[in-house]
Amino acid sequence: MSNQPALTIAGDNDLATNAARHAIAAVPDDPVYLWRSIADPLVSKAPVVILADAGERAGFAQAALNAGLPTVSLPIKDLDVDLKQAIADGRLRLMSTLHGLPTLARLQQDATNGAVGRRYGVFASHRIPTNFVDELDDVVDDLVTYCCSLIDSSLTRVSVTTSDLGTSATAGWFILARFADETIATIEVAAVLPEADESAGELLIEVTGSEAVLRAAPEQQGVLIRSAEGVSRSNWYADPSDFLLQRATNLRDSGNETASLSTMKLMQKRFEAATANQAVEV
Amino acid sequence: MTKLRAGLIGTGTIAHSAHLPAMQYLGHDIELVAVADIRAEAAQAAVKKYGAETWYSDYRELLNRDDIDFVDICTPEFLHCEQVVAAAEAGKHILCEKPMAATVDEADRMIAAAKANDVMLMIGHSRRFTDRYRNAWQAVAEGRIGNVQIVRENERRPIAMYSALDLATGYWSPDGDRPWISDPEYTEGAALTNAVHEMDLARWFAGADALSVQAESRIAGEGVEVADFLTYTITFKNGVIGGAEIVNNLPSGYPYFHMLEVYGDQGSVRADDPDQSPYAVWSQGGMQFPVNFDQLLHIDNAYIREIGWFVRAIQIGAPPPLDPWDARQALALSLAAVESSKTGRTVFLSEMEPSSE
Repeated sequence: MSNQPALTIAGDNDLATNAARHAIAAVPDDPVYLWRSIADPLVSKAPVVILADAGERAGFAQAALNAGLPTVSLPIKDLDVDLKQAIADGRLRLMSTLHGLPTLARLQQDATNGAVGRRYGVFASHRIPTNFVDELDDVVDDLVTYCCSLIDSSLTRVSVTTSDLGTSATAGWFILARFADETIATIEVAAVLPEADESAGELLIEVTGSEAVLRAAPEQQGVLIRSAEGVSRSNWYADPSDFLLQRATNLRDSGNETASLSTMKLMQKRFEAATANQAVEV
Repeated sequence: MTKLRAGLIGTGTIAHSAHLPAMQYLGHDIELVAVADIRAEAAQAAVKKYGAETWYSDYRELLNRDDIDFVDICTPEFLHCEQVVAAAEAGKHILCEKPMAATVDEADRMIAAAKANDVMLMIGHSRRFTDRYRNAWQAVAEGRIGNVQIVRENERRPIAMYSALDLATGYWSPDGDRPWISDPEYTEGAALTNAVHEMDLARWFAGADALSVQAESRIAGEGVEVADFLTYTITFKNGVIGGAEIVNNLPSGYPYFHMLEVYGDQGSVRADDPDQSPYAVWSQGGMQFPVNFDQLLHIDNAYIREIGWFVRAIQIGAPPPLDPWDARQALALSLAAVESSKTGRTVFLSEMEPSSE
């Protein structure tokens, strides 16, 4: 028997179905319920992990909370009063798709274990291809969620600069955030890379502190190919399912809602700060 | 070419680590006549190692000499205005370390004094003279990445970065108890100590003056009293975004790292130390990059080029290779970042103009 608890996995995308497959393979004795659609009845009483696409997460979360189930979700846009309250009282917690990258799972573990000593700051930049600019907001929310999980302290102030970077839509978010423990985060997301088939882009996350600096560049995990056609990289990321489910389990069991609260506030305040072009106190 | 006779004021860390060795290398063009430092032992160490004829503890005595063509001012920024104005009035050409001054008003007075006395003034923004940034800028100037959209330059320094160089002298302690560079009475910290480099680079690569800046700062290191951590976002008038995160008191084993990224609408330029380190050592203590500080940035040939080109401009009567106005604008940006980080406001550069006070 395994110590991994049974789960309800919500979503009908590749991420959710792969996660369900992994969970079943890893823990065959524990049932995993794949809740594919909000229209389907929630028959499982197991805690819920929402891996659905961004537009469906709020609905799944509301239904799961109505059923009284502890819930962990990928970032949720347009949080209503009930969902905000659920985050505030710890019934709903947020994680990032970035928690599914093995390198960033290890970074999270080291940061949580105090490897950097007294933390100074977190620098995070994610550059994506210009043809994926429509996904910019989701990328920002994922990066914000991951950074807040690293810092795990209350958000106190946010400054934001946005830019169209010469296009007709917002193509860059440049966020400065202060936290109660004095950590300062610099979070930068921009659609500036040449057009590509995949949206992954280039991601760099650094945590600085008195005892160590942690530096993660997940896209460096790949095979560099130089050929007559030029230079290309073939990435070989592990399937994120195991790491996402492990993160969800850790979050659910942590009894700590600080990171999710800061995530929620930063996801909301970034728009207010951008519109005001002034720092917003939280 | 006629050899120029030089005087150097302020024989502290930057003089011993960069300016004096560069002058020595340029011995065919420069004769170091005298040095001045309020600390006699620091001045004497420079005389002994670099062969100046004499030393003074009062820089004004150095300026009174008729046989000095130019002075190289390597003192802290809060002394620059007084010393540059005095040097200009004494008819000396002036190379002055960055940051240009402590205030924009002081910078303006320095430029005015140089102009009124018909002497050359250049501020030593050394990174403009490094191979790394010159190569990157060349690629941008040739249009290889199209129109610039984002300029990011992060800088990370370990504690006691200069100790590895085994210098004859360190930072001056005006009050006798702590170095000026960590005393809030004398400096604003990272914004002026090193972020002024990043400010200058961002403005250079953006090709425009800044409109506004948002910044956050903090004191990170143990026992430190000035901000040693600074992060900011600049909006330039042409829409380019500039950013930097400066962290100055990292663990001593951490290498001296920089990361330059310039994104354009047709490509990008990157110069990232972890990818560029020419020499790495793996041991039980982990990975180290012993020559990063020397070879990638600081010594390099940047100071030789900076001082050499300044001297050549004097010799042939050309304008200085770097206009002091650029340094003045970089200073204004740094001071705007200080103001933003203290108040939480977005600070517009127009607010930094003396006439707006």
